[in-house]
Amino acid sequence: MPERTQEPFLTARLHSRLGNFSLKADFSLSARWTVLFGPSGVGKTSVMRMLAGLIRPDEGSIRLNGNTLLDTRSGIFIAPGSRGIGFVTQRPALFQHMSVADNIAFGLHSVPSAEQGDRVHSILELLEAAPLASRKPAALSGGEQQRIALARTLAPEPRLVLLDEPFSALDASLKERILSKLESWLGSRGIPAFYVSHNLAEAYQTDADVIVMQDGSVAAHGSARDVLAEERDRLLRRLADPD
Amino acid sequence: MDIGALWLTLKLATITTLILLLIAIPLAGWLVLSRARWKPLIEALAALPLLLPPTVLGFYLLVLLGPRTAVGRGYAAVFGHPLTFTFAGLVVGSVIYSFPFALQPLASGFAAIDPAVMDAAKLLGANPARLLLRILLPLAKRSMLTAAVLAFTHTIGEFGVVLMIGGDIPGVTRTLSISIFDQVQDFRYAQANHTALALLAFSFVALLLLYWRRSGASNA
Repeated sequence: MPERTQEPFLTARLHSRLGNFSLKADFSLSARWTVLFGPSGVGKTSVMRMLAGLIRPDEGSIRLNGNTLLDTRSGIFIAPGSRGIGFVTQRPALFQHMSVADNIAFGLHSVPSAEQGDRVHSILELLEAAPLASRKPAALSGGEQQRIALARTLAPEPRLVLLDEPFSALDASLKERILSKLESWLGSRGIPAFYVSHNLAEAYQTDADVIVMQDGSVAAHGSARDVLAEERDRLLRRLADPD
Repeated sequence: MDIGALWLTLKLATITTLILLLIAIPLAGWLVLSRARWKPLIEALAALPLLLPPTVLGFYLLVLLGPRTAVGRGYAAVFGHPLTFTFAGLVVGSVIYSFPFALQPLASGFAAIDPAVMDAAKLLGANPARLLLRILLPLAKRSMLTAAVLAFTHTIGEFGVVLMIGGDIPGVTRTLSISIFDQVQDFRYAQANHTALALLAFSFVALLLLYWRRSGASNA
């Protein structure tokens, strides 16, 4: 079973009209590793961006570790940089004018400068990217850029990490290695992760909690085994009775 | 060529360009980062000198800085003389008149930066000042150069606003463009031709270098 906290550490109510699409996502997270699963266009990335504070929902609230990050009724909106949430997306968006080491140190402004070098070095070691420290992003492959973007997000040790398909450019074996290292690194620091994936088998492997999204709302939420069993039963019912 | 006017013009253009960069860089950053509803009002005001005849702008500045307004009287009370018909008055006029030439390239350069890069910096705790100094400016260096060159060359060639606010006082407010006007008035066409050719060549070379640099960068 995935490691869970007694109480949910995050509760979110996110209601918004996004063009022709209506998002109504109400959920809470208590597992250390939760996978957000669903086909393209169901609102997974919008949920992530709202949690990170990059877009505001029309209506809703977000509470993380007892702190209100957003409450549209009382007009509370905590800026992205003050939420303590790290967010890695499919696009690395590295700072092209800085070296890899400077990219990672960018978020360490509140860490004493004597410690910054060690922090950068250890996170690069973790992600098997230490030899890249002095390179500029333009000299990196897509997979290397994704690992540096992840390192940059992890270095400040946020309170929650959002991962929106951040390993799409990594080959399967490296992805598996990095995921396993990431899991134990986050686990040792008590940092939960919320991970967007199209691959439910991945969730099953990590024994994570799973949230399934469909048409802009949460269709199922539970352990990977339960959600998979539900999906299997639903498919079997449809096969048995196509009408 | 009128060397005094040349020196005064270069001094005016240098000071104006420095002041413009100091004002336009944070304003361009604000325009890109802000979601304020009244942003278009600031954008329209900042672009107004592009469309306004220089004499209209010069006239209103002459009135605003003159002894009939609180601004003009306040300045005179502090500095002991009015702002009109002084070098400082020329600087004020030039800054306003050349403002869009500094602001537009900077705002376009900042706006062209990938929003995902800005989001990443915000998520890592960058406040607006850090965002401007560590991300926007280094990534828009070329736009800053364009802004500086356009502001400088535009100030060098200024005539209407300078004449309205500063008049034609040798060594104080007589710039090269006013010197040409004087030379033509006095039928000294050869001298006017020399000065005009120098200004033409200067502007052309400045723009040529700018486009050359831009084309080199895009081919790189």
